[in-house]
Amino acid sequence: MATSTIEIKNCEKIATSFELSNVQGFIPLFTRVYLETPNGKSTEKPVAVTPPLNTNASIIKTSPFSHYHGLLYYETFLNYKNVDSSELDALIERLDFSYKVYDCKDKAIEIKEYDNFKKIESKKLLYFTKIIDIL
Amino acid sequence: MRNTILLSILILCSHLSNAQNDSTSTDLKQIEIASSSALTLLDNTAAIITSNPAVKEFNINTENLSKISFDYSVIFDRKQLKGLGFYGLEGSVDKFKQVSFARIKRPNLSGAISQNDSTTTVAIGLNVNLLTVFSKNKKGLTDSYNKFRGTYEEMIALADDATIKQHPNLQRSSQEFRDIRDKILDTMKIESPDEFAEILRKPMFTLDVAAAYSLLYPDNKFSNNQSDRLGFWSTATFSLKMGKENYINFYAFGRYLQDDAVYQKSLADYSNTFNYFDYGGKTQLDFKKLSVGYEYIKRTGDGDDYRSVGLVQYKINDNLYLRGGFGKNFESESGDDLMTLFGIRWGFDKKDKLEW
Repeated sequence: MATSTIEIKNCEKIATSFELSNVQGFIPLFTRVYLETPNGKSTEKPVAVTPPLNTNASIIKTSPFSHYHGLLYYETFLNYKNVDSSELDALIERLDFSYKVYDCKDKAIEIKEYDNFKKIESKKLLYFTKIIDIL
Repeated sequence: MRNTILLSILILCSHLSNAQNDSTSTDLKQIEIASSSALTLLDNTAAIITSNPAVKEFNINTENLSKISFDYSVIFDRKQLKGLGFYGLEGSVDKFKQVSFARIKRPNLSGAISQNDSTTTVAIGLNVNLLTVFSKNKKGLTDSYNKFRGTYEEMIALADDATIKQHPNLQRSSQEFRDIRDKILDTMKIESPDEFAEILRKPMFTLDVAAAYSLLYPDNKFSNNQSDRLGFWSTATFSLKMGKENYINFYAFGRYLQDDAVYQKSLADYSNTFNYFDYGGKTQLDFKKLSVGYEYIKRTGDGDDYRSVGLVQYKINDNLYLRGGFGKNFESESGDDLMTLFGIRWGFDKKDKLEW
């Protein structure tokens, strides 16, 4: 799946949120969002992470932050120890993703598709990635 | 005729599967002996006493070609199913509770057809989990979740750091970064903790209720249809862990049954009504792929009888279970009470690939 692009006009700052639903059998761990700026350097710290108390891998709407017309990079981690291997792909397909980016007027743009996912079998770990390019 | 019925059920299931592709699909990883509530009403199944089975989108059960049933798992709140809601836990650690009623929103519907040379019975049933009690209290659940999530956070952070150290100019969002990071993660020696996943998968106590209704077709004629059985029952299940992956389960069972189609010799028809109250229990050992159990049910009311059956189920793969039962069943209209059943329980999703 392709990276998503959104255009933010006349706003230096944005906010973001993320929700995952129709979660059947997985154990959600956390989601984190990084901002990668056009100078190409990896960001050290995420702009947001699922709070430690939350068990739904959601990102609660963040405070506004400068986007520098960079990339928002989301990673969502789930454990699939309780899911049969035969039904893993079907359950992955049923997951509903909601990535939201808010402009400075609080208008939300929602994207419902992730870009990629990968399984790390030895750890029963599954993660989904999403890149949103801010123009 | 039997083949026609089998074919019709398979076509119906296939049609329903296509129409309901948003329905739930749940974990069948744990071996368990389960029967559809519709078939349980008719008494002629390997296990009458079962807890709310974790069914896939559909399960098909056949113990012979003249007796087929299927289960369908319903989900009303799929858009609201977030976090650990599937297991009955709230989306925040501070709202964890040892006792959950949340699975009441996810009943299993079932249907069954049973046929012999002179009659056909069609049954529908519904069962639902009323109550689930986890093996840890709120603090235990919280500690276990924190350890579970914390271990993964630590693992991923270590793999990230190692990747950045080796390739400081790679962007985190690049495929190359992820490939290197994932290799490190894959070969890491840190073991993923299992306890929290097990707590969710195997609750300490569950209370299920079920109801079912059947129609009888004497002489296998549609126009002869008449009310057959109506039943309401409840099953309590207590599970204890034995060793690393094995469980012993104790079940208590109570059922009210109204049978409106008891054969009356003088009139040569099925016009008598009997009321029964059944109660009993079962003990079952669940090993990794094998499950063995024994159930005893006492029947009181209009007729004194009992059922005493040993049963076994073997998991061939994630989709296919072999199961059988042997022992004394409740006495049938024809006076038979020997039960020897052997069949398959076949769970599948729309997107499943069959592996035989």
